[in-house]
Amino acid sequence: MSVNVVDIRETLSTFLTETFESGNNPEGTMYLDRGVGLFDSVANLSAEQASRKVIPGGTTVAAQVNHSSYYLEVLESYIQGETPEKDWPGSWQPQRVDEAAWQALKDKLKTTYERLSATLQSQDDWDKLEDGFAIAIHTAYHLGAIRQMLKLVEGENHA
Amino acid sequence: MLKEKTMLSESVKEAWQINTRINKSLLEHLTPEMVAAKTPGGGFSVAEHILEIVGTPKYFGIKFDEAKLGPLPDLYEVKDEKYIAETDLGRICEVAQQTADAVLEAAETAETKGDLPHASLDVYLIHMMVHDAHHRGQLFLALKNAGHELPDDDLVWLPWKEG
Repeated sequence: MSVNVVDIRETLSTFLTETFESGNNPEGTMYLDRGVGLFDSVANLSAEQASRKVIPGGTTVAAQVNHSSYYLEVLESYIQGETPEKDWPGSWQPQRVDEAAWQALKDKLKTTYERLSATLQSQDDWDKLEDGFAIAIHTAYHLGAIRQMLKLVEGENHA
Repeated sequence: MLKEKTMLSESVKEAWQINTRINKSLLEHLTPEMVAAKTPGGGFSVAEHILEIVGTPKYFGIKFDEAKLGPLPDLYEVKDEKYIAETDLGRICEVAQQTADAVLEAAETAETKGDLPHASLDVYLIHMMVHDAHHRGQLFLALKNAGHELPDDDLVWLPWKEG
């Protein structure tokens, strides 16, 4: 058995692609159903839906997206050798967005992901690739929450 | 320089141990009332999410070490062709820990990856940790929606930072 960092890097790419861009590999997906990656999950959600607190005391999809995006930025800083000042409570704001702000949140998530994904694809350093897997694990967790929140948002629509 | 990785890496082993501790903390937080919680609109119950978290590593693990992992107990029974997830928390905790430990031991001692579809044992365990996290996220939302108290955030995320 001989596995090198190239295999790990390709695996990381598979996980990140599935988590953010949806798994559409005809040979099968790793852990998500097809078409339910983060971008697809929130693409058609309106600002009003993204701003709903579906559980009293809970967060909104907009806040989940901003927090996920912020996590990418923090990890990107670490990968670049920086030690960023962090504001985790602030990463859960805004909870409510209008259409322009919602689109801006989604755009920021996507551009940060694309930049980070390209950075990781040029890494040979195992420690930095580990940060990539941390992103996959963190985003998979919040995507799980978002997928459940979408059921509640859709349920409210049908009520 | 590319590093050749021939065995289970120490960092993945350490991550698996952290992931196991997080799952243990989560299971210890649960009460019998919480196990049935489910988000309206479809999806798994808490018990079914746990079944996924515990059962999937075994499902794949058998492909490289049937002898060690095949005999592990399951957290379901089949009734009328349906999988019914275990709800007894004592048994869930016991089987979850037993499975996580056995999977790690098998991965550490494996000489080949057998019939695993993954590129390596590292990749297999990373896959399982991403899979777990996705189910934990869903499980927490189901708990929260049912009005149950969640475990402290530090129990879920601090171990990743502090080891």
